[in-house]
Amino acid sequence: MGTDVPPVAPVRPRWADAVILASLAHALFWVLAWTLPWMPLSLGEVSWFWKGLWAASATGSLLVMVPALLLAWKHGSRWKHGTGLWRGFSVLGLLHYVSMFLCFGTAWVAWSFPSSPWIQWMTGGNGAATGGSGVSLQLPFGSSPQSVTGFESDPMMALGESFGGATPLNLLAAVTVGTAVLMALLGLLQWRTLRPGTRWAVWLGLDVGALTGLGFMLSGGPTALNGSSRSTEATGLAWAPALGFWVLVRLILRAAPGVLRWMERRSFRVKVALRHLTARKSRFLTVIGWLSILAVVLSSCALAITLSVMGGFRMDLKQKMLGNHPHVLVQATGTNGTQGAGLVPMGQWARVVRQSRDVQGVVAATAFVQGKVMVTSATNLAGVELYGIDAAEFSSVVRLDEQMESGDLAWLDAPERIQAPRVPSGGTVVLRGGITRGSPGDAESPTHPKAVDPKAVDPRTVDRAKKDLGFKPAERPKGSLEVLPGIVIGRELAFSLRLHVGDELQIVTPRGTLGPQGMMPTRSTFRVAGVFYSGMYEYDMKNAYVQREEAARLMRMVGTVSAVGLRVSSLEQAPHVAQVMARDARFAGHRVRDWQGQNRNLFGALALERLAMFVVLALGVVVAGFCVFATLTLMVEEKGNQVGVLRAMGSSRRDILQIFLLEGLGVGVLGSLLGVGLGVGLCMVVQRAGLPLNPEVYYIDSFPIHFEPLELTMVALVSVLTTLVATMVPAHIASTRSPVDAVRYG
Amino acid sequence: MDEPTETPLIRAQGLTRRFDRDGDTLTVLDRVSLSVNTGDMLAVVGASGAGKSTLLHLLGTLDRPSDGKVFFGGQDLSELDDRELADFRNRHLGFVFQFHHLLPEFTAVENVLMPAWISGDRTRAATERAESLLEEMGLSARRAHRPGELSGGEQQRVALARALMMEPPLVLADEPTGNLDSASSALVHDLFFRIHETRGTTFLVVTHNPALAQQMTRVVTMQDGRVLDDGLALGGGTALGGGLALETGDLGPEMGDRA
Repeated sequence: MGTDVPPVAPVRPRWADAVILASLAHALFWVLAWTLPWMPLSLGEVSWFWKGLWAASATGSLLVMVPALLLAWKHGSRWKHGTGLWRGFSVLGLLHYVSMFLCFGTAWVAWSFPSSPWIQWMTGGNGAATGGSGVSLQLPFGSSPQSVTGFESDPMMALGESFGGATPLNLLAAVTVGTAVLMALLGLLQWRTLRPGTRWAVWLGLDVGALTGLGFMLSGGPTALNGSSRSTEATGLAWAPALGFWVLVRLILRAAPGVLRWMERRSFRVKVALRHLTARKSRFLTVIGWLSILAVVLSSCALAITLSVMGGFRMDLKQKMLGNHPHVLVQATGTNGTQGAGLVPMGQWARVVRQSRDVQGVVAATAFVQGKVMVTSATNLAGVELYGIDAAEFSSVVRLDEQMESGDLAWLDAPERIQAPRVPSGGTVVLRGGITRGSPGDAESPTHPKAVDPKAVDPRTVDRAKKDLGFKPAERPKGSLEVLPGIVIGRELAFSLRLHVGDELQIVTPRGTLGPQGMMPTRSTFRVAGVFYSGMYEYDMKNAYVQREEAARLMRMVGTVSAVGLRVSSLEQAPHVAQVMARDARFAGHRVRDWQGQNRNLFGALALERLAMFVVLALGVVVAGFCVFATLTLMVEEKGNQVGVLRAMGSSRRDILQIFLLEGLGVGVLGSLLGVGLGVGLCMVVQRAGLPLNPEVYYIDSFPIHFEPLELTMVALVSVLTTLVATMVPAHIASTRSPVDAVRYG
Repeated sequence: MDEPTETPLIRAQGLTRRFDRDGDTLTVLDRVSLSVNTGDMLAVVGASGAGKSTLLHLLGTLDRPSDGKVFFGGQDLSELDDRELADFRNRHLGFVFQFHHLLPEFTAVENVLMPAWISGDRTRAATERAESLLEEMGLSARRAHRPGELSGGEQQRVALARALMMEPPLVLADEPTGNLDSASSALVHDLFFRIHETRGTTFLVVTHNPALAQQMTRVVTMQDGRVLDDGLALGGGTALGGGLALETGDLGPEMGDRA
């Protein structure tokens, strides 16, 4: 890439080139240092070896660069790229050194004499706040988190987080950074004037560096050698996809000439088309050509991102739904008294469970009772879907045990073991996620954020903890609980009924007994054995689980169950298993439905939404298609006279048509590949760094991403096809142009 | 025509070309019949707008006649479809245009190779042939240069090499030296005759250049879409002289407009 420019006469000596490169390398080094979590820059935490090395390199560069800049000041006016540049470099460089060493000096003073007036002045009177720990060097652009942690523990250059404002020290730091940035910009502007060999070497160095870095990261390189805060970790994580993208682009650029040569050898049509695309054109056509590629890139990128995010939401929904739903449901059909044919309670469920387990693909089976009941607590009431389950068996079909937030699912079978979580008075209980919960007094005050491992703090947990703090279980002496059958409810239901593990609730069923005053609803008391959190509001609010026999008694269907639920080895197999079982004579008289069948409406709506989204965003691709149309029309105008000579040399109309179609195809393929690649790259960054969502609104804490290779292929295909269609008219015009008109004039 | 037994290389029969513009019919070529025998060096001369170029385009099948037919070696070219005509041009005709029309994205040798590539020949032998043709034109040092880096005379010589790439029996040239200075023109003209001698290639050259016309074995003079005179240049040279002098007189400003 760097070698395609004709060389400039080497009027500038090599050492001056080296000064320019040094300014670039210096900036690159600091960008890496501030974004990579493991760079050994936190002087406080690393050994004296690093400190020594660092001090030596700063002094060494001073000894080399200052004479070089002075020489450049003197001789720069005679060089081709001249006086202004070198004056700029010299002034900036000297300013940089002066301010940098003043900063270090201040830090040294702060270390030795923390309460000296110099420190007071430099820090705007805040110096005393640091006590003996030193001075803050708050860098005015963003901040450098690991320097914060690093310097904080070392008095040499302590950085307190509270130091802001226009103190002399901060201004010095701003000058240090600003001059470095400006020097790098000056150096960048001189990039083209460097010797081709030098540029080639720099590109090679960058490529090798990027490749090594990527390999380092992919091999699970250290994400945090030093203590790093969350922000550095995020930037560190974003590095891997960014580096991957960079390496990919460079790889393509490096491979491009060879690939193009190979493609050109296929046919003269490809040859001409490729030359048209890559050769120098009029400025306007070049600009509009790039714009049309950009349009294809952006539209296909938007399409890929949208589909990936929507796919992520769908996947999240699916996982949460299936977390509480069997993959396949077997229900008995028959006639039920006066109600006619329909679903009936299942009498021979033990046989069905046994036989289902023999079906290929079925991993687990369980029978359960299901019905709608009313639940009341002291404060509220709610209608729930009550499941009577065999706790152990049910968990092998639906991962309910993994969703337990508090309490224990096994307590359903052993109600005498149900106990409220112990809250020692005045003490604190550390919840999952590290938020401390204690007496109401200190519950509202924020706890020490430093003590919390930031990775482990899930917004959901904080939110949950806050909810929990609103109410406390009634204090009951341990071991004195009356033994009641257990019930497991969802988090939202628990919140709405203000219930905790160990609390009592009442279940009221519509199927009552005939008493002296008419129908009396059945009323039973249960004790909360556990609270689960599935992540689906619907389930957390509506589902409740009790022991199977208890539920059967409540529903007046003792000895029968409502359905048998199955788990299959893979989700995709569920419809197949359901079909096989529906045809199986052993399950005659039963209805077998898979999870998709059960939620046909929901998934149908999701699919429709996605289709609508695809169509709407595909309109963007159509707009990009118009750009391609314009470009190709101009291309035909500009290269039109070539059509004549190509025809004279023996190309047919078809050949001409194909040449221009290939050009459109080239734009389409390049644009859609780059676009989809960019979309996937951005999605990967979002996926790894995590774009937070408000869990109160979305019931999910960060943007879910799911790649569907088929969809991405579709996006690429739609882009390519659209550009191809857009190319057809200009290509047709080119092919029907009279060769005579074309060859007549030059 | 002198020997009726011999089949002419290319024969035009009652060629007419009319253009319709806003209801007006402009007859550029009016019932022109012409036979060119193998080995002829034929110059077509005449005033601007006399129909010379149109005749060349019709003979070269770049354009279809409104009336009349073109026979190549006895084959009626009007019977061929677009693909067959393209193949015919590729194998049997070479073109040299006034504005060389080299493809600017390709180097000299690639431009010479282009007809071979179009015919599907991508062999090493074709490349060697292209290089030897360039050498013949005295351009081997320029083989890797793009047209934009070549002088006008060099460009036209590359175009000539390209026309000869497929070893066609007939080369059609439309004012090949109209854009060149006299020295470059002389060089190109010499090449025409050298090629004619060594390969026996037939040339049909539309030209305004009296020097070239006088060197040719046969000169066809056209006026207002018709053939005014058809004869040997050596014999009719003096007779033509006056007309040609007039032509060259208004050659200058016309060139200025086009360049």
